[in-house]
Amino acid sequence: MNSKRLRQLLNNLGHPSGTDLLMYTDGELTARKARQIQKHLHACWRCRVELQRIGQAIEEFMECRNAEAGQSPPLRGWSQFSRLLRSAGAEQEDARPFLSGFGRRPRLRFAAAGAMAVAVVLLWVHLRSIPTVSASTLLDRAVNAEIQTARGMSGDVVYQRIAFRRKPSSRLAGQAGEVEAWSDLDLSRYRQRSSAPAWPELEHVLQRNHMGGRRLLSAAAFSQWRNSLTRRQESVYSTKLADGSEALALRTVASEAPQPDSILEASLIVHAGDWRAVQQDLRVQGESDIWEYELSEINYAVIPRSSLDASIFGTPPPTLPPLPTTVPAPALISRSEKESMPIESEIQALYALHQVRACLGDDVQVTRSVAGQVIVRGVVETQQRKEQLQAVLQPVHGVKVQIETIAESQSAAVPAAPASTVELPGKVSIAERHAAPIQDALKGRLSANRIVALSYRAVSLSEDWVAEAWALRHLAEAVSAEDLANLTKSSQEMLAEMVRDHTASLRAKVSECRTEFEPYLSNEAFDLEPEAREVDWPGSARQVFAAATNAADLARSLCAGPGPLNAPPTDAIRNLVASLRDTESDATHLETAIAALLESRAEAVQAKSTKNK
Amino acid sequence: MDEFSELEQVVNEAFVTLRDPIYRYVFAAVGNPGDAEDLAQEAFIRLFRDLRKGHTIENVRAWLFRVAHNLVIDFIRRSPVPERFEGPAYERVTEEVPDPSPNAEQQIVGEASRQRLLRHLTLQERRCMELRAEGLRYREIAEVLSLRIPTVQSTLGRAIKKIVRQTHE
Repeated sequence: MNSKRLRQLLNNLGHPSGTDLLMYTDGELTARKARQIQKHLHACWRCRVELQRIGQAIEEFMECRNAEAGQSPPLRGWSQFSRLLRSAGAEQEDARPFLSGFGRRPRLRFAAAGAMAVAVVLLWVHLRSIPTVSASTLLDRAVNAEIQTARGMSGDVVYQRIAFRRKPSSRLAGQAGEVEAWSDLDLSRYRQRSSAPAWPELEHVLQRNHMGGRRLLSAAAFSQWRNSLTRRQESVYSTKLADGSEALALRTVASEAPQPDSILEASLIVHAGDWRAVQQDLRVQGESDIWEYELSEINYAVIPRSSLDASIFGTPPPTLPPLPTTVPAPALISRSEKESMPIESEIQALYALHQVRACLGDDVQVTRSVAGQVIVRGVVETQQRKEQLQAVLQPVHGVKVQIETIAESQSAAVPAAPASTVELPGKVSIAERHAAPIQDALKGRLSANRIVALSYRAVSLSEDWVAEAWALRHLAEAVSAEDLANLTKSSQEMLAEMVRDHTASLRAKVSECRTEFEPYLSNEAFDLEPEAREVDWPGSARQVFAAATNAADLARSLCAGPGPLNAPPTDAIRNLVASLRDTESDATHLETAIAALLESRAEAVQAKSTKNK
Repeated sequence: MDEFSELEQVVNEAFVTLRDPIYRYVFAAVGNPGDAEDLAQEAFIRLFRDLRKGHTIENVRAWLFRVAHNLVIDFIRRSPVPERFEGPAYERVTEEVPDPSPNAEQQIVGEASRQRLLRHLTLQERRCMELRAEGLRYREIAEVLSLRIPTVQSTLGRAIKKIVRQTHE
């Protein structure tokens, strides 16, 4: 008789577990097991009481969440959904499947295309008077327009002339002036000039609120301020510019306690034709009253660098020295293999970043625009790191690199961001906490110093494995199952290598943490029987992410939580160890899954070529 | 009715039926009605786009929860604020929720006891409970959260055990 059968027999002799009773309540058991429990419940008072307690717990939970959600209905009562849906319907890039329904009959396709064009024009005429985008979409499009402009420039400089004005307030008289800015993106040079006395004050406000630096009247700068808010209310509306042209405006109101010089409310107005930001209004908390500013574009021009007055930037910067040779050469990056496909370029870019470990913690994202352009953008700490990333990405064809240093993204004069006072998820300060649950759990078994050292190690390991898990999740998001099936061989190898690296590192960290805690459990039995699981990409990578973040959550609660524990200390350690085991098992499965998928694909390709021969 | 209008109608019907459950799940995670509304709406817009691409979705409800869950994760990742389910942040955000009731004192006591109850759940336990509360089967919860079914079973079991312990303290 095997051990599984023995265990089943033993289980039948005792009481059903709490999980079994919950599954019985939820109708999640097999019919046979449900009958067994039903029979047991007829005979057992203790389990009937336990079942009743489970019912009460569910009731409690439902009351809590209903009370919580009932207090906060949707802010705008779903009023924007119809517009958003219409806007999604008007997007052109997804219209192909509709046309593809006409098969290979050109006349029908042309007729359908013509009818659609008329419909789109009519729809546009109908929608032009009303805003059809959400706040996020408006900003995304405006930021994208800025990126497109930057991408199209080579040897050119952007010139902006902006009028600004401070409206008179109860204590201050109104003031007005102009500011000029030249931005040479190729050479990373920027110059700003204003002789207006009110400019330093406004510049300080912009910098204080993450809108400063090398960007005036910029959707990206507006977005940065918006993202710094913890609570906000927003509206989008259509408006007209002074010249009568159509525009869309986004109004964002900060719902936070006002600080001196903080922006309470800001509006960004973008040109409806090209999504370019042309006006910005700000309401700022002054010392004792509210200041209102208006910035509006007077002139915007792209000037050839050669025709620019040399005094604007002064001497051009010296050529950057060559990079240290420690940057690994992207040997597997081949320009010959379908380099025009964005997914290939994206994988090459991800692989290049992987080689210098930028996928673990650096604020760098690889995205594909609607037009299929691969963009690598991010903010890094030092100029050296920026140059290193630029160097590894340089050989990758078809990728636009937009990486800046922190100093470039925020002016040096900006005070520390308020985010520094917020405890970010994933970062836990153990030093400030005095009674972490682990101290109860291991009291008497380890010295206080040893417990602290163990806590630090566990939290540090959890941060490391979560970083690996995020990297896997990003890969899962970048490469869909469909993409995977169509990848070239070299891209497959790159993807497999990245997955292997991350899973191996993740397993090593998780395993180290598990071996630290396992000795404190006596004779714990874990279900080691592997269950049959599907070979699935990207599902398996997402599973690893979910398991890894859960394990990290448990590790942080145990080692750096507010404590004390409500459960017996060994329960918390057992849950953590079980969760670490799950994570290791999921990571192993992912490694097997990606290898099996790529192998089966290689076989399919080989079979196809044999058949063709 | 043409293909597009029909699709729009289908998504609208799904929206009317499922917007409240999706909103409750998202709100429980982000704690801000404005953001929760945006993210919930975005999930339905993605449903529309996916259907228009000709994709087949067998279980619309689970699909929407999964998309909403991923949107929440991305939102939390971008946001400087920790996810609301976590202890200290959860307390802070709930304190900011306005209380319109005239019997405020009683409400505050009830709110504090609710906070205590939910604070003891881990992130994963709270997510599983929220989804179960919306009527998702264990298999669907596993699909939404990218977990294995036994993990969902044990997570829910642990969560209920904690609540039982809390309510009988």
